[in-house]
Amino acid sequence: MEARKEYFSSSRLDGENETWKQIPQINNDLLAPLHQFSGKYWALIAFLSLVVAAGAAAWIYQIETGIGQTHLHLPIYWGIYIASFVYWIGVSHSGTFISGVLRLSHAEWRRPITRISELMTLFSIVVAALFIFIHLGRVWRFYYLIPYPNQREIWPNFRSPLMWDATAIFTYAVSSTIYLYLPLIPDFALARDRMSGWRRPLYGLLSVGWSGTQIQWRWLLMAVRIVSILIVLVMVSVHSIVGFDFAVALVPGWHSTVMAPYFVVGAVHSGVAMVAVGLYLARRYNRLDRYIGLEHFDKLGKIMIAITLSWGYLYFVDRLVTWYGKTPEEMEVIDSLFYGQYASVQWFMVFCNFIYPIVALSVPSYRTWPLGMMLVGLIINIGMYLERIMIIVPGLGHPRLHYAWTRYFPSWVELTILSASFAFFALIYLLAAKFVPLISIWEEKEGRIHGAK
Amino acid sequence: MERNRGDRVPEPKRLGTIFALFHPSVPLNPIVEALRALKISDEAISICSGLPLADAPPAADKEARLYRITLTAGAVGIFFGILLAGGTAILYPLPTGGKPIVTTPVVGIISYETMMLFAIVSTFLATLIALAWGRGPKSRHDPRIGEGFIGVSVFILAGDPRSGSIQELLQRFGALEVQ
Repeated sequence: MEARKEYFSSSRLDGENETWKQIPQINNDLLAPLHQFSGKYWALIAFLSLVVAAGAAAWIYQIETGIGQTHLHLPIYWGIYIASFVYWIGVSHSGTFISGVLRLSHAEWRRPITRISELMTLFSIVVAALFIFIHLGRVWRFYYLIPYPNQREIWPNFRSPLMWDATAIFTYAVSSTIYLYLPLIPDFALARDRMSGWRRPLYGLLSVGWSGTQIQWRWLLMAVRIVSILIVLVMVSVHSIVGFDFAVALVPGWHSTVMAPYFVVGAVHSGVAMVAVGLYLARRYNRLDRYIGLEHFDKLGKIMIAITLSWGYLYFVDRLVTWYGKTPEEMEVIDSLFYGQYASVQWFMVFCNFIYPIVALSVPSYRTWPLGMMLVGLIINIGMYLERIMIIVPGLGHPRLHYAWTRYFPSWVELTILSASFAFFALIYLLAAKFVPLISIWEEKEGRIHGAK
Repeated sequence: MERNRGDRVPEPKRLGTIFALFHPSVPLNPIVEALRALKISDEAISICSGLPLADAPPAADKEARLYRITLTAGAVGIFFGILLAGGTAILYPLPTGGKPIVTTPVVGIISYETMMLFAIVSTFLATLIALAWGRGPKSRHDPRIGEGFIGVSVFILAGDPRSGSIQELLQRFGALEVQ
């Protein structure tokens, strides 16, 4: 160590040393949150655990007493469980879009953002997958979804879009885990060398013997590049398939050719907005101001403008064509949305998803206001959740036979499980933030060193 | 043939490592060239860094042909998807009014997903194997590499007469430590 100090203090390398000297500081700054546990942190963990426990109890109650505990009833057989499933799959597009697309386009400013969004991707898929099981009702029969030759020789019917869903979600979950894990390997190795206690052997295991040889770097970088390309392709397919769940059904309001791209753009809308929320919280509570700067919020804001405009365009196209066609059963849904019982929610949703983001994000000084960016992220996510409800419920509530028209409002069991899902997402994210560096350390260092050259 | 008790079995020569730690600003190409001049093969030189080096020295220039594995696995995935969505539908037909038993769009969607799944998982597994293999036979690791320093390991057999020259060479090129 003495030799190192002498070397750094030598005059012949002063200019270059300034850049390289940052590395220990970056290591310390970005690994620090892994061993800082405050009382507030534990209090938040305890509160979120309580909410999750309440949700788990509600789910157990639903399993024990039957799906009748929900307010799902024909013809509204999909309610907030499926809306939540679609919403969380949408949020999962945060990592794949922000991280994958920006990585492929070599956007330098992505470096402090990728890990935060990749973690969101993984955890939101976990929450989304839970809703499949919650919605099943008889959850112990989940294995009916798995293709295996059972005693009745009936395989899952692959003509059902729900089977496409199961396949796509499985692929997406596995791929996202791999996509999160691969760039983590050098950071796990760094943590292995610097942490003590029970975490050290775990980091050692997860770093798969990483020592930073050039052959290892070469393979890792190529793997990350290949998986980045593939994950973006999977991302588009996954939410297209979720869109097909609706589009291939002849339910009024659903049967639209634009549904798949509309779902993909909507998913990216909520995902990127959630990244803005995560970015603010990571910066604020992990003291990462040096790494997550105002320019990151500004650039994220510009991307959000483009996505908001795309979402608005697809929303307008979808509604315009339906309205212009004036098919009676479709118009019943349109009327209920724009002037009828769902009008207040519908217009609030349009405000959250389009009007507020466009107005706010068009102001340059707003985009460099971190709290404002978090607020716009929250507002978009509220809007996107309502949008999922507004796709599902009005369409199902207005079937072609008028005598079956009905309304839907979730029961206490559904609302408890819904609250618990948000708490669960926050809980696993908070726990992970103490195990995984929230900013990719080697990528951050690489950006600074190569940027300085 | 049985060996006589008195015969001495020659001990296999152990592989030793000379490890040197360099400041990150030290150019590595001249070091590698100098080691080559001492008849050290590229396979016997391993360079460790905390960051991917922008100008990787030739010794590390092993081409990773990972994409071949990805493409092959993707092709296998397509085949698997066709069997899963099309093959099983033929084996266990479920007639539904007016619909064919096997449909191209359905098989296409499932095959697309299985193609991606196989490609990504195979890429991942191949990378894990390559990372474990890429450590080198006796690669030394120094935690200071994580702080930006660069480690150069040279693998030689114990008792190799070049050992002293290699250490001297590494010192001459500005190694902070040679072990």
